[in-house]
Amino acid sequence: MNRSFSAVAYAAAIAVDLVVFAIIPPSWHGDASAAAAAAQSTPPPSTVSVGGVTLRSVNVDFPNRDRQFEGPGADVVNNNCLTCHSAGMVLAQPRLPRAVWQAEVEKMRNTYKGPINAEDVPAIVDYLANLPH
Amino acid sequence: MTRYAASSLSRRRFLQAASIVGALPPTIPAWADVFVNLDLPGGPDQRSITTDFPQKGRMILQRSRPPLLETPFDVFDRGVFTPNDQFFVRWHWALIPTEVDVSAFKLTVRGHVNQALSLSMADILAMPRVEMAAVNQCSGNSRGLFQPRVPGGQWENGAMGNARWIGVRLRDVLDRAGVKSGAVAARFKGLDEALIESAPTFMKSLDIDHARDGEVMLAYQMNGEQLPLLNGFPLRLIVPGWYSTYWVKMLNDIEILNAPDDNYWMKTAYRIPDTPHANVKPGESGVATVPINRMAPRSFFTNLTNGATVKPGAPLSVRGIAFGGDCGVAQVQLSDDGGSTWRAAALGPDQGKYGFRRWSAEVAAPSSGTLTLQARCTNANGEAQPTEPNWNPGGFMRNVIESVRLVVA
Repeated sequence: MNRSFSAVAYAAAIAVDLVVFAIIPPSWHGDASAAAAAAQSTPPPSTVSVGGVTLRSVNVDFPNRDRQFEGPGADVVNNNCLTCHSAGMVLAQPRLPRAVWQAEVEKMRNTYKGPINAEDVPAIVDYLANLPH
Repeated sequence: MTRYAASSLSRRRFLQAASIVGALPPTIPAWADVFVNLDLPGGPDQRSITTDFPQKGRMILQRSRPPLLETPFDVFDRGVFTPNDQFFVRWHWALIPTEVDVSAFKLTVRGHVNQALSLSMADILAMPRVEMAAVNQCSGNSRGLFQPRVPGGQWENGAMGNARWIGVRLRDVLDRAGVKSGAVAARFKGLDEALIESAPTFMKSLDIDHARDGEVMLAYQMNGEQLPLLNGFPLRLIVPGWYSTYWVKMLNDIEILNAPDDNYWMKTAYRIPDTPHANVKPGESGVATVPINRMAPRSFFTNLTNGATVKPGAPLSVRGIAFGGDCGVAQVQLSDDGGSTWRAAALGPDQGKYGFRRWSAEVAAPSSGTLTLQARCTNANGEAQPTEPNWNPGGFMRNVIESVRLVVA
Protein backbone atom coordinates (compact mmCIF):
# COMPACT_ATOMS: atom_id res chain seq x y z
CA MET A 1 0.00 0.00 0.00
CA ASN A 2 2.60 2.39 1.14
CA ARG A 3 5.02 1.50 -1.59
CA SER A 4 2.44 2.03 -4.26
CA PHE A 5 1.72 5.47 -2.83
CA SER A 6 5.44 6.17 -2.79
CA ALA A 7 5.90 5.01 -6.32
CA VAL A 8 3.14 7.33 -7.48
CA ALA A 9 4.74 10.17 -5.56
CA TYR A 10 8.14 9.61 -7.16
CA ALA A 11 6.69 9.30 -10.61
CA ALA A 12 4.88 12.59 -10.05
CA ALA A 13 8.02 14.19 -8.71
CA ILE A 14 10.08 13.06 -11.67
CA ALA A 15 7.42 14.31 -14.04
CA VAL A 16 7.42 17.68 -12.28
CA ASP A 17 11.20 17.70 -12.45
CA LEU A 18 11.23 17.21 -16.18
CA VAL A 19 8.72 19.99 -16.66
CA VAL A 20 10.61 22.33 -14.36
CA PHE A 21 13.84 21.80 -16.20
CA ALA A 22 12.13 22.28 -19.50
CA ILE A 23 10.69 25.68 -18.64
CA ILE A 24 12.86 27.27 -15.96
CA PRO A 25 16.51 28.23 -16.41
CA PRO A 26 19.02 26.52 -14.08
CA SER A 27 19.91 29.79 -12.33
CA TRP A 28 16.45 29.78 -10.77
CA HIS A 29 17.49 26.89 -8.55
CA GLY A 30 20.18 28.75 -6.70
CA ASP A 31 18.34 32.01 -5.96
CA ALA A 32 20.34 33.36 -3.03
CA SER A 33 18.50 36.67 -2.71
CA ALA A 34 15.17 34.92 -2.15
CA ALA A 35 16.74 32.74 0.53
CA ALA A 36 18.29 35.76 2.21
CA ALA A 37 14.96 37.60 2.23
CA ALA A 38 13.25 34.56 3.73
CA ALA A 39 15.95 34.32 6.42
CA GLN A 40 15.47 37.97 7.39
CA SER A 41 11.76 37.58 7.90
CA THR A 42 12.05 34.57 10.23
CA PRO A 43 12.31 35.05 14.02
CA PRO A 44 15.58 34.27 15.78
CA PRO A 45 16.06 30.58 16.58
CA SER A 46 14.77 29.35 19.91
CA THR A 47 17.32 28.39 22.52
CA VAL A 48 17.56 26.18 25.57
CA SER A 49 19.99 27.35 28.20
CA VAL A 50 20.78 25.54 31.45
CA GLY A 51 23.85 25.66 33.66
CA GLY A 52 26.03 27.65 31.28
CA VAL A 53 25.28 25.59 28.18
CA THR A 54 23.11 27.15 25.50
CA LEU A 55 21.76 25.15 22.60
CA ARG A 56 20.38 27.08 19.66
CA SER A 57 17.81 25.69 17.22
CA VAL A 58 19.15 24.97 13.77
CA ASN A 59 17.59 25.43 10.38
CA VAL A 60 19.88 24.65 7.47
CA ASP A 61 19.76 23.82 3.80
CA PHE A 62 21.49 20.88 2.24
CA PRO A 63 23.12 21.39 -1.15
CA ASN A 64 20.53 20.81 -3.84
CA ARG A 65 22.87 19.67 -6.55
CA ASP A 66 23.55 15.98 -7.02
CA ARG A 67 25.61 14.01 -9.48
CA GLN A 68 23.79 11.88 -12.00
CA PHE A 69 24.83 8.90 -14.05
CA GLU A 70 25.95 9.65 -17.57
CA GLY A 71 26.68 7.88 -20.82
CA PRO A 72 24.95 5.04 -22.67
CA GLY A 73 22.37 3.25 -20.53
CA ALA A 74 22.38 5.94 -17.83
CA ASP A 75 18.67 6.77 -18.07
CA VAL A 76 17.49 3.54 -16.53
CA VAL A 77 19.96 3.95 -13.66
CA ASN A 78 18.99 7.57 -13.06
CA ASN A 79 15.30 6.69 -13.13
CA ASN A 80 15.59 3.81 -10.67
CA CYS A 81 18.40 4.75 -8.32
CA LEU A 82 18.33 8.49 -7.67
CA THR A 83 15.20 8.52 -5.54
CA CYS A 84 17.13 7.25 -2.54
CA HIS A 85 20.69 8.42 -3.18
CA SER A 86 22.85 10.52 -5.43
CA ALA A 87 25.30 8.98 -7.86
CA GLY A 88 28.59 9.99 -6.26
CA MET A 89 29.26 6.96 -4.10
CA VAL A 90 28.36 4.58 -6.91
CA LEU A 91 30.68 6.35 -9.33
CA ALA A 92 33.47 6.05 -6.75
CA GLN A 93 33.24 2.26 -6.64
CA PRO A 94 36.18 0.26 -7.96
CA ARG A 95 35.80 -2.27 -10.72
CA LEU A 96 33.66 -5.00 -9.16
CA PRO A 97 32.52 -8.38 -10.47
CA ARG A 98 29.08 -8.44 -12.07
CA ALA A 99 27.81 -10.75 -9.31
CA VAL A 100 28.73 -8.12 -6.71
CA TRP A 101 26.74 -5.47 -8.59
CA GLN A 102 23.84 -7.89 -8.97
CA ALA A 103 23.83 -8.41 -5.21
CA GLU A 104 24.01 -4.66 -4.56
CA VAL A 105 21.05 -3.90 -6.80
CA GLU A 106 19.04 -6.71 -5.24
CA LYS A 107 19.87 -5.42 -1.77
CA MET A 108 18.70 -1.95 -2.76
CA ARG A 109 15.45 -3.37 -4.14
CA ASN A 110 14.62 -6.17 -1.70
CA THR A 111 16.14 -5.04 1.58
CA TYR A 112 16.14 -1.26 1.30
CA LYS A 113 12.85 -1.31 -0.66
CA GLY A 114 14.10 1.09 -3.31
CA PRO A 115 11.46 1.73 -6.01
CA ILE A 116 13.36 -0.22 -8.66
CA ASN A 117 11.45 -1.88 -11.47
CA ALA A 118 12.20 -5.60 -11.56
CA GLU A 119 12.45 -5.59 -15.34
CA ASP A 120 15.09 -2.84 -15.18
CA VAL A 121 17.46 -4.76 -12.90
CA PRO A 122 19.49 -6.45 -15.68
CA ALA A 123 20.04 -3.12 -17.46
CA ILE A 124 21.08 -1.44 -14.20
CA VAL A 125 23.55 -4.23 -13.45
CA ASP A 126 24.90 -3.99 -17.02
CA TYR A 127 25.54 -0.29 -16.62
CA LEU A 128 27.23 -0.67 -13.23
CA ALA A 129 29.39 -3.61 -14.25
CA ASN A 130 30.69 -1.54 -17.16
CA LEU A 131 31.34 1.77 -15.44
CA PRO A 132 34.38 3.42 -17.00
CA HIS A 133 37.45 3.40 -14.78
CA MET B 1 -3.72 4.29 1.63
CA THR B 2 -5.80 6.81 3.50
CA ARG B 3 -3.69 6.52 6.57
CA TYR B 4 -0.45 7.19 4.76
CA ALA B 5 -1.81 9.80 2.40
CA ALA B 6 -3.44 11.71 5.22
CA SER B 7 -0.54 11.63 7.65
CA SER B 8 1.77 14.57 7.94
CA LEU B 9 4.65 12.12 7.81
CA SER B 10 3.71 10.90 4.38
CA ARG B 11 3.11 14.42 3.22
CA ARG B 12 6.58 15.35 4.42
CA ARG B 13 8.08 12.33 2.75
CA PHE B 14 6.37 13.26 -0.48
CA LEU B 15 7.45 16.87 -0.31
CA GLN B 16 11.03 15.98 0.47
CA ALA B 17 11.10 13.39 -2.28
CA ALA B 18 9.68 15.92 -4.68
CA SER B 19 12.11 18.61 -3.67
CA ILE B 20 15.09 16.28 -3.82
CA VAL B 21 14.27 14.82 -7.19
CA GLY B 22 13.16 18.21 -8.44
CA ALA B 23 16.53 19.68 -7.59
CA LEU B 24 18.56 17.29 -9.71
CA PRO B 25 20.69 19.23 -12.15
CA PRO B 26 21.25 18.21 -15.72
CA THR B 27 24.96 19.00 -15.56
CA ILE B 28 28.14 18.64 -13.51
CA PRO B 29 27.67 20.11 -10.04
CA ALA B 30 29.11 23.52 -9.25
CA TRP B 31 31.35 22.16 -6.50
CA ALA B 32 33.16 19.82 -8.87
CA ASP B 33 35.95 22.25 -9.62
CA VAL B 34 38.31 21.26 -6.79
CA PHE B 35 39.49 17.70 -6.50
CA VAL B 36 41.59 15.55 -4.24
CA ASN B 37 43.24 12.29 -5.18
CA LEU B 38 42.93 9.57 -2.58
CA ASP B 39 45.55 6.85 -2.61
CA LEU B 40 43.24 3.92 -3.39
CA PRO B 41 44.54 0.82 -5.18
CA GLY B 42 43.05 0.62 -8.66
CA GLY B 43 40.97 3.79 -8.28
CA PRO B 44 38.78 5.60 -8.92
CA ASP B 45 40.62 7.90 -6.57
CA GLN B 46 39.46 11.35 -7.57
CA ARG B 47 36.95 13.04 -5.26
CA SER B 48 35.54 16.54 -5.16
CA ILE B 49 36.31 18.88 -2.31
CA THR B 50 33.14 20.51 -1.09
CA THR B 51 32.35 23.43 1.19
CA ASP B 52 28.64 23.33 0.37
CA PHE B 53 27.34 21.50 3.42
CA PRO B 54 25.83 23.44 6.31
CA GLN B 55 28.11 24.04 9.31
CA LYS B 56 30.90 22.16 7.54
CA GLY B 57 34.14 23.43 6.10
CA ARG B 58 36.34 21.83 3.46
CA MET B 59 35.39 18.16 3.16
CA ILE B 60 36.00 15.30 0.74
CA LEU B 61 32.72 14.54 -1.02
CA GLN B 62 32.04 10.82 -1.11
CA ARG B 63 28.30 11.21 -1.64
CA SER B 64 26.00 14.21 -1.50
CA ARG B 65 22.71 12.46 -0.62
CA PRO B 66 22.56 11.03 1.95
CA PRO B 67 25.79 12.82 2.85
CA LEU B 68 29.09 10.98 3.16
CA LEU B 69 31.84 13.51 3.87
CA GLU B 70 35.42 12.52 4.63
CA THR B 71 37.87 14.58 6.66
CA PRO B 72 40.85 15.70 4.54
CA PHE B 73 43.80 13.95 6.12
CA ASP B 74 45.90 17.10 6.61
CA VAL B 75 43.37 18.09 9.30
CA PHE B 76 44.77 15.35 11.55
CA ASP B 77 48.21 16.97 11.55
CA ARG B 78 46.88 20.07 13.26
CA GLY B 79 45.97 18.56 16.61
CA VAL B 80 44.41 15.61 18.34
CA PHE B 81 40.94 17.17 18.35
CA THR B 82 39.18 17.21 15.02
CA PRO B 83 37.37 20.49 14.34
CA ASN B 84 33.59 20.16 14.29
CA ASP B 85 33.35 21.71 10.85
CA GLN B 86 35.70 19.10 9.42
CA PHE B 87 34.49 16.09 11.38
CA PHE B 88 33.42 13.29 9.03
CA VAL B 89 29.76 12.74 8.18
CA ARG B 90 27.96 9.53 7.38
CA TRP B 91 24.19 8.98 7.06
CA HIS B 92 22.29 5.91 5.94
CA TRP B 93 18.92 7.39 4.98
CA ALA B 94 18.09 10.54 3.06
CA LEU B 95 15.34 12.03 5.24
CA ILE B 96 17.47 14.01 7.65
CA PRO B 97 15.63 16.89 9.32
CA THR B 98 17.13 20.18 8.20
CA GLU B 99 15.42 21.97 11.07
CA VAL B 100 15.63 21.04 14.74
CA ASP B 101 13.86 23.14 17.37
CA VAL B 102 15.71 22.56 20.62
CA SER B 103 12.83 23.87 22.69
CA ALA B 104 10.50 21.23 21.22
CA PHE B 105 12.92 18.30 20.94
CA LYS B 106 12.18 15.31 23.17
CA LEU B 107 14.12 12.16 23.98
CA THR B 108 11.85 9.26 24.84
CA VAL B 109 12.93 6.35 27.01
CA ARG B 110 10.48 3.49 26.92
CA GLY B 111 10.03 -0.25 26.78
CA HIS B 112 11.09 -2.50 29.62
CA VAL B 113 11.27 0.31 32.19
CA ASN B 114 9.35 1.23 35.32
CA GLN B 115 8.45 4.65 34.01
CA ALA B 116 8.63 5.85 30.41
CA LEU B 117 10.29 9.25 30.02
CA SER B 118 10.00 12.13 27.65
CA LEU B 119 12.97 14.37 28.36
CA SER B 120 13.40 17.87 27.00
CA MET B 121 16.84 19.27 26.25
CA ALA B 122 16.43 21.42 29.37
CA ASP B 123 15.86 18.23 31.39
CA ILE B 124 18.99 16.70 29.92
CA LEU B 125 21.11 19.83 30.38
CA ALA B 126 20.10 19.87 34.06
CA MET B 127 21.48 16.37 34.68
CA PRO B 128 25.02 15.74 35.97
CA ARG B 129 27.53 16.57 33.24
CA VAL B 130 30.38 14.41 32.04
CA GLU B 131 33.12 15.06 29.52
CA MET B 132 35.19 12.59 27.57
CA ALA B 133 37.61 12.61 24.64
CA ALA B 134 36.80 9.77 22.29
CA VAL B 135 37.50 8.72 18.73
CA ASN B 136 34.50 8.23 16.50
CA GLN B 137 35.51 5.97 13.61
CA CYS B 138 33.35 4.52 10.86
CA SER B 139 33.31 0.73 10.76
CA GLY B 140 34.37 1.02 7.12
CA ASN B 141 37.06 3.65 7.56
CA SER B 142 39.83 2.85 5.03
CA ARG B 143 37.55 0.49 3.08
CA GLY B 144 38.95 1.89 -0.16
CA LEU B 145 42.31 0.35 0.74
CA PHE B 146 41.00 -3.21 0.89
CA GLN B 147 42.43 -5.62 -1.67
CA PRO B 148 40.58 -7.19 -3.30
CA ARG B 149 38.33 -4.15 -3.24
CA VAL B 150 34.86 -4.42 -1.75
CA PRO B 151 31.68 -2.40 -2.37
CA GLY B 152 30.64 0.33 0.03
CA GLY B 153 31.73 3.84 0.92
CA GLN B 154 35.20 4.13 -0.60
CA TRP B 155 36.83 6.00 2.26
CA GLU B 156 40.53 6.49 2.57
CA ASN B 157 41.54 7.06 6.21
CA GLY B 158 39.47 10.14 7.02
CA ALA B 159 36.22 8.54 8.24
CA MET B 160 37.29 9.17 11.81
CA GLY B 161 37.65 12.01 14.24
CA ASN B 162 38.33 12.76 17.87
CA ALA B 163 36.33 15.20 19.96
CA ARG B 164 35.74 16.24 23.53
CA TRP B 165 32.17 15.12 24.10
CA ILE B 166 30.09 16.79 26.79
CA GLY B 167 26.79 15.44 27.94
CA VAL B 168 25.23 13.01 30.38
CA ARG B 169 25.78 9.39 31.26
CA LEU B 170 23.37 7.05 29.55
CA ARG B 171 23.25 5.18 32.86
CA ASP B 172 21.83 8.25 34.62
CA VAL B 173 19.10 8.55 32.01
CA LEU B 174 18.26 4.86 32.21
CA ASP B 175 18.23 4.95 36.02
CA ARG B 176 15.71 7.76 35.85
CA ALA B 177 13.40 5.50 33.87
CA GLY B 178 14.23 2.47 35.99
CA VAL B 179 15.34 -0.50 33.90
CA LYS B 180 13.27 -3.56 34.83
CA SER B 181 14.86 -6.87 35.62
CA GLY B 182 14.96 -9.04 32.55
CA ALA B 183 16.09 -6.21 30.28
CA VAL B 184 18.77 -7.40 27.85
CA ALA B 185 19.45 -4.50 25.49
CA ALA B 186 18.93 -0.81 24.88
CA ARG B 187 17.99 0.16 21.33
CA PHE B 188 18.68 3.62 19.94
CA LYS B 189 16.97 5.51 17.13
CA GLY B 190 17.42 9.01 15.72
CA LEU B 191 15.27 11.47 13.79
CA ASP B 192 16.48 10.34 10.37
CA GLU B 193 14.15 8.23 8.24
CA ALA B 194 14.23 6.28 5.03
CA LEU B 195 12.34 7.79 2.10
CA ILE B 196 10.63 4.45 1.70
CA GLU B 197 8.68 3.75 4.83
CA SER B 198 8.98 -0.02 4.56
CA ALA B 199 12.78 0.19 4.48
CA PRO B 200 14.46 -0.85 7.74
CA THR B 201 14.60 2.05 10.19
CA PHE B 202 18.16 2.70 11.31
CA MET B 203 18.47 1.49 14.90
CA LYS B 204 21.39 0.11 16.90
CA SER B 205 21.52 -1.72 20.20
CA LEU B 206 23.90 -2.25 23.06
CA ASP B 207 23.72 -4.99 25.66
CA ILE B 208 22.07 -3.57 28.75
CA ASP B 209 25.24 -3.95 30.86
CA HIS B 210 27.22 -2.02 28.26
CA ALA B 211 24.51 0.65 28.11
CA ARG B 212 24.74 0.98 31.90
CA ASP B 213 28.54 0.93 32.19
CA GLY B 214 28.76 4.63 33.11
CA GLU B 215 30.94 5.48 30.09
CA VAL B 216 28.37 5.45 27.31
CA MET B 217 27.12 9.02 26.99
CA LEU B 218 24.52 11.20 25.37
CA ALA B 219 26.46 14.21 24.07
CA TYR B 220 25.03 17.65 23.37
CA GLN B 221 28.37 19.34 22.84
CA MET B 222 31.54 18.45 20.98
CA ASN B 223 34.70 20.48 21.39
CA GLY B 224 32.83 23.10 23.39
CA GLU B 225 30.09 23.78 20.85
CA GLN B 226 26.73 22.25 20.05
CA LEU B 227 27.01 19.47 17.50
CA PRO B 228 26.76 20.37 13.82
CA LEU B 229 23.42 19.14 12.54
CA LEU B 230 25.15 16.64 10.26
CA ASN B 231 27.05 15.23 13.23
CA GLY B 232 23.87 14.56 15.17
CA PHE B 233 22.49 17.77 16.67
CA PRO B 234 21.03 18.07 19.23
CA LEU B 235 21.96 14.79 20.91
CA ARG B 236 24.19 11.92 19.96
CA LEU B 237 25.05 8.60 21.55
CA ILE B 238 28.75 8.27 22.39
CA VAL B 239 30.02 4.71 22.71
CA PRO B 240 33.70 5.11 23.59
CA GLY B 241 35.93 2.48 22.07
CA TRP B 242 33.25 1.18 19.73
CA TYR B 243 32.72 1.87 16.06
CA SER B 244 30.66 4.82 14.90
CA THR B 245 27.70 2.74 13.75
CA TYR B 246 26.56 2.68 17.39
CA TRP B 247 26.93 6.44 17.87
CA VAL B 248 23.34 7.16 16.85
CA LYS B 249 22.87 10.74 15.69
CA MET B 250 19.88 13.01 16.44
CA LEU B 251 19.07 10.47 19.14
CA ASN B 252 15.41 10.82 20.16
CA ASP B 253 14.34 7.33 21.19
CA ILE B 254 15.73 4.71 23.55
CA GLU B 255 13.84 1.47 23.87
CA ILE B 256 14.74 -1.05 26.55
CA LEU B 257 14.28 -4.55 25.20
CA ASN B 258 13.66 -7.76 27.11
CA ALA B 259 14.76 -9.90 24.17
CA PRO B 260 17.79 -9.67 21.85
CA ASP B 261 17.46 -7.08 19.10
CA ASP B 262 16.87 -8.78 15.76
CA ASN B 263 16.45 -5.58 13.73
CA TYR B 264 18.20 -5.51 10.35
CA TRP B 265 21.03 -3.19 11.44
CA MET B 266 22.07 -5.61 14.19
CA LYS B 267 21.12 -8.97 12.73
CA THR B 268 22.20 -8.54 9.11
CA ALA B 269 24.16 -5.33 8.55
CA TYR B 270 27.41 -4.34 10.24
CA ARG B 271 28.33 -7.96 10.94
CA ILE B 272 31.96 -9.06 11.06
CA PRO B 273 33.49 -12.52 10.86
CA ASP B 274 33.96 -13.91 14.36
CA THR B 275 37.69 -14.38 13.72
CA PRO B 276 40.87 -12.58 14.82
CA HIS B 277 40.92 -9.10 13.17
CA ALA B 278 37.58 -10.01 11.55
CA ASN B 279 39.75 -11.61 8.90
CA VAL B 280 38.66 -14.13 6.28
CA LYS B 281 39.95 -15.20 2.90
CA PRO B 282 38.20 -13.60 -0.08
CA GLY B 283 35.42 -15.95 -1.14
CA GLU B 284 35.46 -17.90 2.11
CA SER B 285 31.96 -18.78 3.27
CA GLY B 286 30.29 -20.36 6.27
CA VAL B 287 32.11 -18.19 8.79
CA ALA B 288 30.10 -17.26 11.88
CA THR B 289 29.51 -13.53 12.27
CA VAL B 290 28.89 -11.16 15.17
CA PRO B 291 27.84 -7.52 15.31
CA ILE B 292 30.84 -5.24 14.86
CA ASN B 293 31.95 -3.96 18.25
CA ARG B 294 35.24 -2.78 19.78
CA MET B 295 37.75 -0.77 17.80
CA ALA B 296 41.32 -1.92 17.27
CA PRO B 297 44.52 0.13 17.66
CA ARG B 298 45.70 2.31 14.78
CA SER B 299 48.42 4.85 14.09
CA PHE B 300 48.96 7.22 11.18
CA PHE B 301 51.61 9.50 9.77
CA THR B 302 50.22 13.01 9.53
CA ASN B 303 53.12 15.17 8.31
CA LEU B 304 54.39 12.91 5.52
CA THR B 305 52.58 11.46 2.55
CA ASN B 306 53.53 8.77 0.09
CA GLY B 307 55.98 9.98 -2.53
CA ALA B 308 57.19 12.99 -0.53
CA THR B 309 60.83 13.98 -1.04
CA VAL B 310 63.19 14.18 1.91
CA LYS B 311 66.76 15.47 2.16
CA PRO B 312 69.56 12.88 2.06
CA GLY B 313 71.29 12.20 5.36
CA ALA B 314 69.31 14.84 7.22
CA PRO B 315 67.31 14.29 10.39
CA LEU B 316 63.66 13.98 9.54
CA SER B 317 60.91 14.97 11.91
CA VAL B 318 58.07 12.49 11.77
CA ARG B 319 54.78 12.81 13.58
CA GLY B 320 51.35 11.37 13.64
CA ILE B 321 48.38 10.29 15.68
CA ALA B 322 47.43 6.99 17.26
CA PHE B 323 44.58 5.55 19.21
CA GLY B 324 44.25 2.36 21.17
CA GLY B 325 40.76 1.41 20.06
CA ASP B 326 38.86 0.24 23.12
CA CYS B 327 41.62 1.34 25.54
CA GLY B 328 44.56 3.71 25.71
CA VAL B 329 47.78 3.82 23.71
CA ALA B 330 50.68 1.99 25.39
CA GLN B 331 53.27 2.79 22.75
CA VAL B 332 53.86 3.76 19.16
CA GLN B 333 56.95 2.39 17.45
CA LEU B 334 58.61 3.19 14.15
CA SER B 335 60.55 0.97 11.80
CA ASP B 336 62.71 1.99 8.84
CA ASP B 337 63.78 -1.52 7.89
CA GLY B 338 60.56 -3.21 6.92
CA GLY B 339 59.61 -4.16 10.43
CA SER B 340 62.81 -5.99 11.48
CA THR B 341 63.55 -3.49 14.22
CA TRP B 342 61.33 -1.00 15.99
CA ARG B 343 62.01 1.96 18.20
CA ALA B 344 59.63 3.91 20.35
CA ALA B 345 58.22 7.25 19.30
CA ALA B 346 57.59 9.95 21.89
CA LEU B 347 53.98 10.24 22.95
CA GLY B 348 52.16 13.53 23.43
CA PRO B 349 49.88 14.32 26.36
CA ASP B 350 47.27 11.75 27.27
CA GLN B 351 43.94 13.54 26.89
CA GLY B 352 41.80 10.50 27.55
CA LYS B 353 42.27 6.83 26.82
CA TYR B 354 39.65 6.76 24.07
CA GLY B 355 41.07 9.74 22.18
CA PHE B 356 43.82 10.38 19.66
CA ARG B 357 47.37 10.56 21.02
CA ARG B 358 50.06 12.57 19.27
CA TRP B 359 53.35 10.78 18.57
CA SER B 360 56.61 12.09 17.17
CA ALA B 361 60.14 10.96 16.37
CA GLU B 362 63.26 11.92 14.50
CA VAL B 363 64.73 9.53 11.98
CA ALA B 364 67.84 9.84 9.84
CA ALA B 365 67.24 9.75 6.12
CA PRO B 366 69.69 7.62 4.11
CA SER B 367 72.05 9.24 1.60
CA SER B 368 70.01 8.19 -1.43
CA GLY B 369 67.24 5.95 -2.67
CA THR B 370 63.99 5.56 -0.85
CA LEU B 371 62.93 5.44 2.76
CA THR B 372 59.91 3.48 3.91
CA LEU B 373 58.72 4.13 7.44
CA GLN B 374 56.19 2.09 9.36
CA ALA B 375 54.28 3.08 12.49
CA ARG B 376 52.80 0.55 14.89
CA CYS B 377 50.53 1.22 17.84
CA THR B 378 50.25 -1.18 20.74
CA ASN B 379 47.34 -0.51 23.04
CA ALA B 380 47.07 -0.76 26.82
CA ASN B 381 45.63 -4.26 26.50
CA GLY B 382 48.79 -5.38 24.70
CA GLU B 383 47.17 -5.60 21.29
CA ALA B 384 49.42 -4.40 18.46
CA GLN B 385 48.51 -3.51 14.89
CA PRO B 386 48.99 -6.50 12.58
CA THR B 387 51.63 -6.66 9.85
CA GLU B 388 49.18 -8.06 7.30
CA PRO B 389 45.98 -6.28 6.32
CA ASN B 390 42.74 -7.97 7.32
CA TRP B 391 40.05 -8.67 4.76
CA ASN B 392 36.32 -9.20 5.01
CA PRO B 393 33.50 -8.60 2.54
CA GLY B 394 32.15 -5.59 4.45
CA GLY B 395 35.45 -3.74 4.37
CA PHE B 396 35.39 -3.37 8.14
CA MET B 397 38.01 -2.86 10.84
CA ARG B 398 41.12 -2.19 8.81
CA ASN B 399 44.01 -1.57 11.21
CA VAL B 400 47.13 -2.88 9.48
CA ILE B 401 50.45 -1.16 10.27
CA GLU B 402 50.64 1.97 8.13
CA SER B 403 53.67 2.81 6.04
CA VAL B 404 54.84 5.84 4.14
CA ARG B 405 57.22 5.64 1.17
CA LEU B 406 59.57 8.59 0.82
CA VAL B 407 62.01 9.56 -1.90
CA VAL B 408 65.48 10.68 -0.80
CA ALA B 409 66.75 13.41 -3.11
